Amino acid sequence: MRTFYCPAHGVTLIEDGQGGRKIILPQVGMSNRSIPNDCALLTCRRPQAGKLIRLDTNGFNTGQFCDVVEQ
Amino acid sequence: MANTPKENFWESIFQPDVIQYLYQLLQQQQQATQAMSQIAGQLQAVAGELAAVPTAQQAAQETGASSGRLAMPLPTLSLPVSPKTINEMILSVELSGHLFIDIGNLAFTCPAMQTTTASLPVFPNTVIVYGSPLRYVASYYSSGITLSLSVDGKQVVGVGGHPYLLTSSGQAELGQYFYSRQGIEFSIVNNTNTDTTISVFGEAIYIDREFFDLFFAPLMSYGYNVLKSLAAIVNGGHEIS
Repeated sequence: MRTFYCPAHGVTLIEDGQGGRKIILPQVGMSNRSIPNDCALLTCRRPQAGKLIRLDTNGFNTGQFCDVVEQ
Repeated sequence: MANTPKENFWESIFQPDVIQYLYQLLQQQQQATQAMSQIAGQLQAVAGELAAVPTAQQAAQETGASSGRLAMPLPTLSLPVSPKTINEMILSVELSGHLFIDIGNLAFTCPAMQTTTASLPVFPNTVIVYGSPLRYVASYYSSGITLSLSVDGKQVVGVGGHPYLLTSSGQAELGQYFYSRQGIEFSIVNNTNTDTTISVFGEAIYIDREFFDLFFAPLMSYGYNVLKSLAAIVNGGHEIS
């Protein structure tokens, strides 16, 4: 199981290593509730070399890595 | 000795059947008089009530002749109230700190051959009332992709709780006035070889939990109990548990 965290938006992604993953959105304050759709963890794919691959809006590989923290 | 024509006339008048007929006429007349007396009494009662209503001139004097405004009757509220009415009341007054409205719009990637779960928790001490169905679109559709939706741990989409097949965009009808205390959880199973990005959006009204518990919920409970009592009266006294 691997857990990734987006420090910019407080989103957590848990990969269970068996084809399942869980996105946990933060319980942030009401004033900064919105999470942009381009948050790294919401638009990324499976880990590769300790990082997550960022996808475009069509789900294709952009060749970039997401700016997330593996915990 | 033969009777005179005058005596013949009175004899013909005082025949038993004629007297009976005249007696019936008298009775009907008495009944009509009594009915008219009753109507007159009712009219007097109405006149007394009308006398208590201020005239336009009196009302203007009470509210201030200088303003020239007339006294308006207090508005009446029909009960039982509906969730729609309460939502409209809540949204039409400024309740700073008690609620805010968010058009939620989230997109998350669901990689091929993976199950993706996304949790949208409710803030502490907050209740969400949904103002619209949750709509969803995806970058790739297939019958191999399913979407499930749970509110407060209860699966709410599809007939019999079966997940939606993501063969097209659509909307999950939670019921426009569905509310949640814990949160929504989306679960997408992508059994295809293609990644898909799913966007979900809808209107959520975040209400302070204390305000919800002390205002919204009691009114809803009252409305439900009124209707339950009414149903019991109609069906002969059998009240549902």
